Amino acid sequence: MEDLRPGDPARIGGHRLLGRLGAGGMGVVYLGRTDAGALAAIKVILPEHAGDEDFRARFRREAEAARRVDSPWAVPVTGADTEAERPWLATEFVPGPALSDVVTRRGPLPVRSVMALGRLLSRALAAVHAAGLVHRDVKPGNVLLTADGPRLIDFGIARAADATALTATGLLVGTPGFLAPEQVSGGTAGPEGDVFSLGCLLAYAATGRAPFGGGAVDAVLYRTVRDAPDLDGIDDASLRSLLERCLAKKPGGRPSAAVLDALIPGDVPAGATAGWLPEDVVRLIADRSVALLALPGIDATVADERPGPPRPGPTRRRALLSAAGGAVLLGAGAFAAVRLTRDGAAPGGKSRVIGVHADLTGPGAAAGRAQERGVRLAVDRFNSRDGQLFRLSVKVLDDRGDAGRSVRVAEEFTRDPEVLSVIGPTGDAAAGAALPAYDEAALPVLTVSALQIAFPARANGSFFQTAPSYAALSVPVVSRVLPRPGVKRLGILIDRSGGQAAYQAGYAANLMARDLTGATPHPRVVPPGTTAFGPVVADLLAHHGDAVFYAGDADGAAGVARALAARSFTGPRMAQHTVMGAEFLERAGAAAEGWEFVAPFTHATAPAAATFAAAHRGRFDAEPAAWSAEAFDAAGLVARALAGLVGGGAKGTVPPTRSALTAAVAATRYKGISRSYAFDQERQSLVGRDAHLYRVENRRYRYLGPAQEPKS
Amino acid sequence: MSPLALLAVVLTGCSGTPDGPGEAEGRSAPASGGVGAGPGSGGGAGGGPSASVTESFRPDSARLPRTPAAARALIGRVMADTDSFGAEVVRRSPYESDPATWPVLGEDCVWQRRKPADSVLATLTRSFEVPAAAGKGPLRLAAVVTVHRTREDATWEMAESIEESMRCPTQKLREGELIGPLLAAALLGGEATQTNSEDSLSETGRYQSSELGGPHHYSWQQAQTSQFTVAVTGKGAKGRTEQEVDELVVQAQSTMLARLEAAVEKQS
Repeated sequence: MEDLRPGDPARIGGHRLLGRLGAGGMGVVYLGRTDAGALAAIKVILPEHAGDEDFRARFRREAEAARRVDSPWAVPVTGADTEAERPWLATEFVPGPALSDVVTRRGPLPVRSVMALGRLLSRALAAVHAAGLVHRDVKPGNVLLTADGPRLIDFGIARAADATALTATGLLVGTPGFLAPEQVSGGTAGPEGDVFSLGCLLAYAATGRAPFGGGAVDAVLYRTVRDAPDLDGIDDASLRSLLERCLAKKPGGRPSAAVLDALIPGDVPAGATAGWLPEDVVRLIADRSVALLALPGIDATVADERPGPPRPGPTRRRALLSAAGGAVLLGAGAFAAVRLTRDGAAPGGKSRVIGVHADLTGPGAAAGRAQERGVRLAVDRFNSRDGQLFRLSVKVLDDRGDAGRSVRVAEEFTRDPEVLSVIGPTGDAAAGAALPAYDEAALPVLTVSALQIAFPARANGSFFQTAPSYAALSVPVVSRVLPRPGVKRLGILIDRSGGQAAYQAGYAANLMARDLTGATPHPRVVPPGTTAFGPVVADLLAHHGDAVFYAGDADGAAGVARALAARSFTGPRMAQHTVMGAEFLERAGAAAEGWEFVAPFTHATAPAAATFAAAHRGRFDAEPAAWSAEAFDAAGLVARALAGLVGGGAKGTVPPTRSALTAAVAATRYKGISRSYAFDQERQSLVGRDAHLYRVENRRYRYLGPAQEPKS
Repeated sequence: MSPLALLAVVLTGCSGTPDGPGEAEGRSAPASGGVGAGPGSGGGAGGGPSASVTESFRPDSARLPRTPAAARALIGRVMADTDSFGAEVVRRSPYESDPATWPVLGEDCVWQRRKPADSVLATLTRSFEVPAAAGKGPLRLAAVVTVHRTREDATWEMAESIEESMRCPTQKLREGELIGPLLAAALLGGEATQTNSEDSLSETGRYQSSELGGPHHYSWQQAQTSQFTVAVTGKGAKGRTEQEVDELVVQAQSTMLARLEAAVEKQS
C-alpha cells in the first residue's frame, strides 16, 4: 500500500483515509476506516468521469443495485455517494488473500474445498444476478478467502464504464482465461457468462491451471472459443461433470447460478464453516490477516475500537508494517476489496520506458506509425494487468528513415537511463546505422521490420529481429509454389531495384528451391532501374517457368505483372511483402489479380488477431495497419522478460540492468499474435519462419492465412 | 550449416569489406543518370536501402572511352600489376589473356574463353601467383578489367555474374579445376558500408584442383562503376589461409578501383 499523496483528501464520506490501495483510469482506491472503526475500501471516481452525466447515471444505478446484493459470500457495499462532487463507493475491507495467491503459493485445493467454493460462489453470483447485475470478471483474483468462506468482490459496479476505458486501452472487459466464449467474440455478457467464468475459476482451483491455458492472450481466447477445457487431473466425477456443464460453449447450455447451487451434492457445506479449507491455507489466511489488520494502528489519532490484540508498541508495529508491505508485493489481490481499477499503478508507481525507434515521417512512415500503435497497445495492456510492480511508458523518436538521424535517435535512447528496451528501427538502413550505439550500451533493441539476414555481429548481442529475415521468408514462398499441381520449375527474378531485401530473398529462394525440392529453378537477375521486363519474362517462360517469384520493388512487380499478363500467364505469381501497397495495385491494374505475397505481418481478419484488432479499433478508431500486431508482440515479449526479472528476483522493484534484460529477452519464448517467438542463441535472429499469405483479389489484398512450413 | 546460415555468413562478410584507398574524400555527387537511379523505395518497411542514390564519384564524360583503342588504353592504366597485390606476387605465364576473348560460363557450368559481347569495347585478364614456398602451395590470382559501351551494359554484366552463381553453384574452371559450392553477396553503392563502387559482388566458395588438391578457399570480387567492371579472383592452396587469399583479392580490387577513379573523374 502507498502512502497518501499531498493532493489526496484526508476524509471521504465519513471515512478517514489511511493509504492508497491502487489507482487507475476510473479513480483511486483508498483504504479507509469509518469513525466506528470498520475498515473499508473506498473508490473515489476521477473528476473527468464525475463530470460525465452518463457515467454518473450508470454509476448511480449500479451502486444502488449493488446495495441490494444480499449474500454473505459477496463483499457488501457499505456506503456510496453518487451525487458528490467526487462520487465514491465503499465496501467492506476483507483482509484475506485472493484465491489466485493461495493457489499460486500452495497449489490446487482439495475437491471438498473446490466444491464448497462452487456452492458458496454460486450463491454469491445468484445474489448478484438477482440484483440485476452481471459481474463480468469472475476470476481467482476477485475471490478473497477467509476462514469461514470465500468473498466475491468487485461485482460489476461501474464495469460498463470501465469497459469503455478498458477497450480504449486495448482490453476486453474481463480477464482472458476466465472469459466466456461469447464475451471473447464481442457479444454482450449475461449471467451465463459469469457461470462460465466460475467454471474456469473452479477448474483453476482444482488443478492449479486455467482450463484454457496461459500465455498469449489471443491464444487463450482462441482456445476458449474452440477447444475443450483442460480438466486433466480432476478425478472426481461429480466435480468434473459440474465443470463440464458450466463450461458449455453455448450460454444456453449452462446452468444458472441458482441451478448450479442445486446441482452441487447436498453434503457440501452451505454455510459458514471452519473446516472448508486445508489447514495450511487457514494458517496462510491468519498470517495475512494479522499483518493487514495491524495497518490502521499507524494512525494514532483515530480511535481504535476494533476488537483484538492491544495496539502494538513501536517495535512490533514496524515489524508488522514490513510484513504488510511484503504482503503487498506478494499479492496485490489481498488488498483489493474493491478493485474497480484496471490500469492501476503498482505500489511505488515506478516507471520504466519502452522506446519506439521508428520512421514516422519518411518512406517507411506507414510501418513506423503502425508499430508505434502496436507498442502503445502492448504497454497499455501491461499497465492494466493486476499486480504489476511497475508501470511502463512509451517514448517515441522519429528517424525519418534516415541513417544519420537514426544514429542520433539511438544515442538519445541509450543516454536515457529510464529506457530499458527499444522497439525498432523500422528500416534496414536505419537499423544498420543505429546498431553500434545500441550495442555499446547493451540496450536490448527489437526490430520488427528490418529483416536483412546479415547485420554485422556485435559484442553485446542486444539486437533482436522479431520477424523472419528476407532470406528466411523465401522458404514459405518456395513451399507455397512448388508443391502445386503442374508446377515443376520456379522462375526466380531478382530485380536489383529492390535492394538487399530483394537480393536476399531471391538468392535464398534459389538455394531453397534446390535444397527443399531438388528442382532446378531458373534464376534471372536484372539491374536496378530496369523498366522493360518483356525480354526477361519471355526468357523465364521459355525455360518452363511454371511459377514466378519476383524479388524486387513495387514498380518492377507491376511491370512484370503486366508482361506476364500480356503473355496470358496464369500460373502462380509471388512477390515479397515489400511490394504490397497501393502502388502495385494501381500500376499493375488488372494484371495484379491473383498475385500472392508471403508477408511477415498478420492481418486484422486473422482469428488470432481478433482481440488485438478490436482493441486497436477501440483505441485508435482504425483498423490495425500492417506491422502493428508484430510491434505489439515485440513489446509484449519485452514486458514478459521484464516481468520475469522483476518478479522473480529478490531485488523486487529495483530495475533490471539492460544487460540482464538482454539476456532475459534472448531466453524468452513467447507466443504472440503473429507468431511464436524464440531467438537463436548465436545470432539473436528469430527461430522459425512463421509467415502469412495474401492474394490480390478484386484489386485488394486479401488475407489467406498462415503460410505453410515446408514438408520435410 | 544450412544454406541460409551460409548465406548469412557470406552477406555479413561482404558488408564488412574494408574501404579502399583514395575513397575517403569527395564522394558527394549522386549518380543521377541512367540506371544509377538506385534501388527503389520498396513499398513496405525495410523494403530497400534508404540510400536511394548511389554515392559515387563523378566521371568526366570527356575522359570516358568511346572507342576500343581508348578503352584498351584505359585498361592499361587501371589493370592490376604485381605491385598491386604486394611484394610476394609474381606474374604467371601466360600473363595476359587474348584480348579478343573473355571468360564465359556455359549452360553446362564450364568456363570457356569466347568472343565478348558486342557491348564490350575492350577486356583484359591477367594472371598472378604467390609462388609455392616451404609447406605452402602456389596462391593463384587473376584480375579482369572490362570496358563496356555504356553503364547499362556494365550493370547487365553484374546481373549475369549473379545469375551465374545461382544457376551454377558448382563451376568448372578448366579440366581438373572445380569451384563450388559458391555463394554470392551483392551490395549496391550505399548499401551497408559499400562506398567503393556502384555495385559490388563478392563470391566465395571452395576450390578443388587435380594439381593443387583441396578443397581450398576461393574468393571472387567484382565491382562496377560507370561503364567499367573490375574483378579479382583468388584461389587458395595448401598452407594458405582464407584471410591471406581475401586480403590479396581486396587489395588488388581496391587498387584498381582507385586507379579507375583517378583515370576518369572530373579534375577540378
